[in-house]
Amino acid sequence: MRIVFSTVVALLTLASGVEAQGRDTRSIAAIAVSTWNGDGTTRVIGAYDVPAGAEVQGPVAVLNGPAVISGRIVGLLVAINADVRLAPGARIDGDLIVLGGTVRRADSVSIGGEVRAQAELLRYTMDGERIVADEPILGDWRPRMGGQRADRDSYTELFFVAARTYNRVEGLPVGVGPRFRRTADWGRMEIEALGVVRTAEPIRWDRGTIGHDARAELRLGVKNGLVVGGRLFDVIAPVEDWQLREVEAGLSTFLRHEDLRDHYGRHGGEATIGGRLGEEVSLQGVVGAERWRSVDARRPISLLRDRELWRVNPTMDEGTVDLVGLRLRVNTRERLRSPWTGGWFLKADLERGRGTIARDVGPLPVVPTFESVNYTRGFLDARRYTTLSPGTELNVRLVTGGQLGGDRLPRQRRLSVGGPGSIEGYDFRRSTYDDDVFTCGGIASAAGRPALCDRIAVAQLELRQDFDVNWVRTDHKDEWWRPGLNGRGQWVLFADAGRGWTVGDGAPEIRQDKGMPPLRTFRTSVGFGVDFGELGFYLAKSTSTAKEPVNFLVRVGRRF
Amino acid sequence: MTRLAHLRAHLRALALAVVLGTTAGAQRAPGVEIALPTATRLTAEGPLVKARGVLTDARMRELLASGFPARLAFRVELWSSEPWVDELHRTAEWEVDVRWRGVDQKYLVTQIVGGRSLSLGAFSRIEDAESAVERPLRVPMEAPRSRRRFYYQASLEVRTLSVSDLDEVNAWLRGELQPAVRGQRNPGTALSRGVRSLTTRLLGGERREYGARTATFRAPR
Repeated sequence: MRIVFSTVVALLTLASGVEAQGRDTRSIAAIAVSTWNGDGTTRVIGAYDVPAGAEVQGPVAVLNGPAVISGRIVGLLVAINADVRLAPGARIDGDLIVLGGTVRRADSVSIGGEVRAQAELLRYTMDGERIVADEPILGDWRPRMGGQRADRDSYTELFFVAARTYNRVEGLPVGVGPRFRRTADWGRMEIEALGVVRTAEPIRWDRGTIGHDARAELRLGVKNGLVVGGRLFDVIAPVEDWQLREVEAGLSTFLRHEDLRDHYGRHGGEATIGGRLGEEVSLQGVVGAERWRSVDARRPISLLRDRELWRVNPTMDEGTVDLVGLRLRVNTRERLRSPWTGGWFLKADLERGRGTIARDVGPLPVVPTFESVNYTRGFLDARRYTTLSPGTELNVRLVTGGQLGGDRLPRQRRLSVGGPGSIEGYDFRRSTYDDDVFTCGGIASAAGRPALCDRIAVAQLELRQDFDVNWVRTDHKDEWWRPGLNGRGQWVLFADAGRGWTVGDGAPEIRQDKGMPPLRTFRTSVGFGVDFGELGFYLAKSTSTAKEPVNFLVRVGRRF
Repeated sequence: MTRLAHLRAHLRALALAVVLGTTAGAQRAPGVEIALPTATRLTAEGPLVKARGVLTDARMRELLASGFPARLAFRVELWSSEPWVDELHRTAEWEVDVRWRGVDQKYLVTQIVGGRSLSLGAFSRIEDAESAVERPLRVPMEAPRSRRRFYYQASLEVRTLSVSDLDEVNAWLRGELQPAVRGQRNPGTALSRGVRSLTTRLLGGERREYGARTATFRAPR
């Protein structure tokens, strides 16, 4: 049987605008919709089959289809969002109207009227049995902001299980307990009360294994509005978390036996009040009281090098502090239609701490000396994502922070640079050939190589461009298991620069009491890599320290 | 309409038909196609967009038949070509969801625009489902009248939901163990499933992206 594909002819007829004499001059969509809604029409949703020898009185309208005609239709046949197949001997006495579908016809088909087809799909709304064609409005097609849908959900769960980032102090911390969220036209209420169980050995009924994290939040206003909240916690928190995402820190610990963060114990509570503009901007004022403690690395399992010792979790300052702070978050990365207001990410924190702490406690069991502390600290992570053309991006990130006033910062609030996520041409907290502008003395002087910088500044720049990769395998031909690459990736060229420094203390090469150190003292690196979306491979080379070898990095997700 | 305009309309229609109507060929390279409206309609209607051959490969069909839904995420952007940095003007997104319903042994095809879903049918044959997936859609994104030169960029991401293993492990490490628990799956294997997903993604097996763009054009003032 020879099948003749007639869509081309039908489209030509459609597009040319030529009107045959006596022909219905309405659009194909209008004819199709009015036929479907007509009183005498036989309406079919789904597959429609007229077998050979059968005869059906028209008009007939088929929605979605396919319509397979081997017999005869006495009158008009309309197919909406449906393909029509006309078998040998098929006969349609009237017109054949196809909207949002194709026609395949054998050469022995008889059509008494015209064949009119329009390839594009009809979007419509059902009103009972009637069809109402949609008015196309671009606003309905605009991208939705990520996470909004899930954010509106209500739930009540008595046994919610949540795991946090895998680390060398806790192993996998698992939170278990009830949670509740109700969304209403006035806003949202959310309560969560989780007990925390830490899986790293030794597992004992003590604070090393057991903790808690409970919080409540009230949002007044659905889109914009006031947010009031409170939190009670006894958790293990990272000292710095700006370099790597949670998933990367967790995977590095679990797979490579390398925890790239330091941790301390936080026990206390906080109250927050603030406002938000949609999901993009929020500003919070925070008041809290906490007891800080030092915590040791334990013995969580890791996939590789499991028998090796973990890097010591550096000792932290211990004591009680009252905290007052402001937290600003801006995220317009998904607002693509506004070139100037879209594409920003901003995380800015300002914290004032007052309390009594014992500094540099150390591993030996000596009676600690407590002192009053009163400090102000700021932190800024600002990013700009600019799309130069489809598939080409230029992204910039600036991270700076540290002591703004008052006493020397507690260790929990000090900072470091170098390694994955910051200046990638240098190793994580290693300085073989260079002054320690990375941890400001932590590498050489203290177990676990803690971050001891009072201030840091890091700038990152990257250029990305899409590319297609078809290496060895071709998806639509080869079996899925065949090795090779087939997909889209991005070339990434990047450069990093930064350093840390101390204020009022420390060796001359790492000290800068006022302003920023000279730019020539900043450490720099450049690199190149490919990013396959979820996994990226990069080579980074220091440009400010010639002897520093090339680093190979695997990143999960984007660099920033 | 003048004779020249008629001729142009015919030529454009021919090009459109060749782009959108031709389905001959046993094995079509998968992708997304985008076609401009006729020259006289550039400021009145948007481009016509369709997927091509995305369900034809054996791996995708095997995943569908195994109960993994496939989701096709379309995105169309209107850009103006500028001397230094091109400017994005408009964006539209929609999705097409394909899943196997075991109860009546049918493939369900649903199109979702702005949260509103439209059934494109339930089909016994995968070929019919594929045909429904490939129905061209006119995007209501006409170019503004301007001296600038514009172009449309279309992208299509096809993913089967087994890829959610990776999202699950990401969420798991971030603090959301619940999906693994709710799904009656062993949470301990979420990590290994995540690693497997990473590998399969690297092989291009379960998430694919395609792109196409039109030639640049001027919208008459």
